[in-house]
Amino acid sequence: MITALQAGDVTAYEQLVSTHLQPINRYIRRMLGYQANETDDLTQEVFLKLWHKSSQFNPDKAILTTWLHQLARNLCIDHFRRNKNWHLLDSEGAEPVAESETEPDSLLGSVRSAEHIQAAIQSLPERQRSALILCHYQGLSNKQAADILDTSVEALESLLSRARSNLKQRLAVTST
Amino acid sequence: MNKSRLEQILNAYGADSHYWPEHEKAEALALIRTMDDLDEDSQTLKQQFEHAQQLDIHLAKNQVPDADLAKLKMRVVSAVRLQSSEPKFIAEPNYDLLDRLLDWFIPNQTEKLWQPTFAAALTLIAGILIGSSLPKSVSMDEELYYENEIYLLGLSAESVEVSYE
Repeated sequence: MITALQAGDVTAYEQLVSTHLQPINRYIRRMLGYQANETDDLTQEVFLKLWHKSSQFNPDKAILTTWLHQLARNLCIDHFRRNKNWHLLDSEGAEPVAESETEPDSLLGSVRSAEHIQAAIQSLPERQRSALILCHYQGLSNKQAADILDTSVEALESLLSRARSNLKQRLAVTST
Repeated sequence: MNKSRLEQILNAYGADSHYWPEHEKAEALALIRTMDDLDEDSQTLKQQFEHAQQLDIHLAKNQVPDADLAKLKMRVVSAVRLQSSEPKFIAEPNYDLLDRLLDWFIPNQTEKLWQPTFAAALTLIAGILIGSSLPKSVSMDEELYYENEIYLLGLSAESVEVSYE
């Protein structure tokens, strides 16, 4: 299929779009927040890159889904930069969360709407958010997610731990 | 697999073993089964497991509504179809011989500049070769005649200068 795509076969391209469109669109929606109008534009851009840059893809070194997620992530980062959403890019500067008097974990038991959860995920720094989305929602393995984030599996686990810890705190704080 | 690694797994991937690293899943589950409730470490792990489970429940609530995928697919594919149907190279018009020759000597693209350079160099070399291979066409008598002519012209110029003085 990839060989056919690289030879300029539109039918092969169409089949690949059918397979990968939904996960890539979902990833972009989660990264941008699904109310964002640009999600479909960015999805289209990912697949245009697939068509134009398919010769750069080496099936011996990566799998297509990883490569597409990488393209999508880079486009999301460009989008944040264009819109000057610097806080969404800061990888280490997770906003400090005010200390809650109540134990955060105990507050997790209370009811949270999907919007609350989405807002909490959106407030995470880009790398933590991406790590969580890739592993938890996109169903990718830790190795694939680490490849997309261009990091090691150990570093990915550290990002995931920080993401989950930040989420617990944020969800606890928003309930008080 | 030990308790410390299990703790790391719970913190990173949550309580649902579906998300755990494939090669560690069986061992981690086996360790959970063998944990003794009376053990202090086990109590801590059990608590962490429950907290991770609570967060997993919240994360599961966050379902993203899908876009209109059929419409989006049509948009994506038609953009590529449109681009792929455009001719990549402009068809060469039917030039006559003179145009082709002019095109060869005066190309539009700078990378083809070697053509006129090569033609000029070839002409120069051919000229030098032809010139050096020709027999000397001026005889000794003619050469003397020309020298005399030049001498006489020189004399006449001198006489003009004297008459002015």
